[in-house]
Amino acid sequence: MNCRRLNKIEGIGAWWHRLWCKECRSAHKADAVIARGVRQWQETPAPTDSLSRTLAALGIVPTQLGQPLSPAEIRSRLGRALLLVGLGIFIMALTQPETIGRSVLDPLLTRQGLFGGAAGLWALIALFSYLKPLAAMLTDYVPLFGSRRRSYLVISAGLASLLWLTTLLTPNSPAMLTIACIGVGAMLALGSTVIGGFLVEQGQKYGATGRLGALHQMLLHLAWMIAAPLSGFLAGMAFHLTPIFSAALLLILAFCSYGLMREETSAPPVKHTVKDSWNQVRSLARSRTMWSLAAILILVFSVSNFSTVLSEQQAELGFTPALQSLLEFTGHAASLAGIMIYLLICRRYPLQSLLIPGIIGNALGTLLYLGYHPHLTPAEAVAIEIFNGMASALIAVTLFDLAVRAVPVGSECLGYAILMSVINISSRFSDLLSVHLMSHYHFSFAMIVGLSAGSCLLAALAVPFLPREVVSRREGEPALPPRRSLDAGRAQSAPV
Amino acid sequence: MEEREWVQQIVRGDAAARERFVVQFHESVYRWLRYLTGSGQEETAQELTQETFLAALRGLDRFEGRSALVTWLHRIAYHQFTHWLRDRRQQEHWHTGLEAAEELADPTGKNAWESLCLRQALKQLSEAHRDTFILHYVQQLSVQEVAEVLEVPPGTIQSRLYHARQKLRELLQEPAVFQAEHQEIGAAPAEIACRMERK
Repeated sequence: MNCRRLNKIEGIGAWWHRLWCKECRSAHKADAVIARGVRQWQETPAPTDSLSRTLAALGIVPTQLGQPLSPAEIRSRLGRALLLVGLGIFIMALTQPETIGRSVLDPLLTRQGLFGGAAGLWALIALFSYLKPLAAMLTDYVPLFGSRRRSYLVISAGLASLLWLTTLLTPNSPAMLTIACIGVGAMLALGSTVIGGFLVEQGQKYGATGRLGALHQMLLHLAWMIAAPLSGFLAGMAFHLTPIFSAALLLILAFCSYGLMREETSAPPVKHTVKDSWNQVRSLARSRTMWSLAAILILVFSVSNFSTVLSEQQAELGFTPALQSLLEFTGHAASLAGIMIYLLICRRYPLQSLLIPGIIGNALGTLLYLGYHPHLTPAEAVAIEIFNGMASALIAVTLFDLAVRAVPVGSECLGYAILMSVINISSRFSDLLSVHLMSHYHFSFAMIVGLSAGSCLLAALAVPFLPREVVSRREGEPALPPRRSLDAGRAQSAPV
Repeated sequence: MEEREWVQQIVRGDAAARERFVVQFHESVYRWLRYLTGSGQEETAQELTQETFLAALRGLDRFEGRSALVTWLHRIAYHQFTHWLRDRRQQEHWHTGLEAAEELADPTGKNAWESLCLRQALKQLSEAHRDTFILHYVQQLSVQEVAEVLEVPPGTIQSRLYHARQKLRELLQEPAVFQAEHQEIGAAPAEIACRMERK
């Protein structure tokens, strides 16, 4: 092994060099065998009675801590986690003031033209959804009544329920109504951050990041699908039904969280100082994994959402409002189908096998919009929407799975909140960007579509930089500690 | 929780902290001793693991926190092993070809052969290089921690790791050869493993 570049370069440069250097190719193959051999060695467990014998020899009476969980116990705990995450995601998405309350609150809030009208008001009410990282730092590093999750979830759901009920007392005061809605938004932002952190924790613990991520996406789509008709139905009956319905759902969530969520309340309190929290943030900021992941998320989501431009294009092509609604509904339904497909394949294939095909599939689905022409039939439009819906949902849930796996232990809420903020801000920015490009730079619809597909394909370049211990596992396989790099020149450094 | 706080809890007699201490490090210590003691010595590895934790719990009040707990435990485990070796007058490891095949949970499993190849290749290294490789890559200790366990300078550890890696790369640069051998493992694992040993 005499190549001078051996061990000196990595990443894309090393991959390019190996195309020409037989010696480095052989070394790379050998490294892969060694790395897999080390992992298999680490996976070989001690005899099942070894730990209990050691504890007995030391005179330690084993508690639940010392006993490995039985498969039945694991299924039970995972089932509880799935139920709680499902309830939390669905209820918190549905009971947002701008989701279920828009029909009934819009006329009341905008009566006096406060904050520049409806757009300004709703942006203000949704403000706290962009401040989730701050809420996450609170829940990750400041335990409340001995727990990091349950207390925050119960309190946030309970307070959100109470604040919804206060809107019954203030229908004639837009200012007080706005304050109540902002309060609801703040509590739901806190609660959804906690649910996200809980999802990451349980997903990493039981190797169920794919299932929990798919559940998260599925229930978000369901909530969006039923929110508009439900909101219209409740508003049509009577004003007070919307707040009472929302408050009741949130109260159910509070009780279920109290009953279902298990935490080690006897755990010693986390030492929280501003310095410790800041150190955690700094280590997150220095994490190569988080940066690679953020780059992928930005490239995939920052130009992918051109819904406003698409609606305008559909109107130009003569699509009726009924057809547009059908297409939107079809898109959501196809997304649900895509998520179901992911649930089937995530246990068969490691994540790294799903990322690149998912990115390419999403790009192809986007390029189908180039088929929008004046003679497009409704059936063709529905077919485009079905394929695009499935492809975009597949890549979204794959990236969500990746994000959940990549979040460091101890910073579940903060890592999740940061990555979700990247996705949300990128999506919002994407829509504004496409409108801006069309109106100010005279981009055509085809150019917007091409830009979106091209940006998505670029994300594939960042995939090789993701750590193997995150992407090489299938759904259900336990997480391994990060592997030491086989580069002796950096043998002192932290794991890959 | 910081390790010093944890140690103080254990020294004060906190039963939950003691149990957590054993549960957290048991697998790692057992794997290290299982490797050191070699083939057919599962009971010995188990006994040495118990001795290690016994010695650790007795000496925890003297733990000064200059190294990590995991490093300290590995050092205790290594000393327990060397005492056992001296007492039993055994001068070499038993890394026979049978060991690798026996230890694998499923020698016919398609994902197990890299571990077999690695163990066979590791036998070609000297004991010092082998121990260093195992501690760093399998036991996940840093270079500094490995140096503390083996009581040699960190520079020596880095040099050993470099040479171990180079040697393993030379041995495993044709994994197809190992793969061809492995395809017969389902029929006679011990025979194939020994044949590889004779090579």
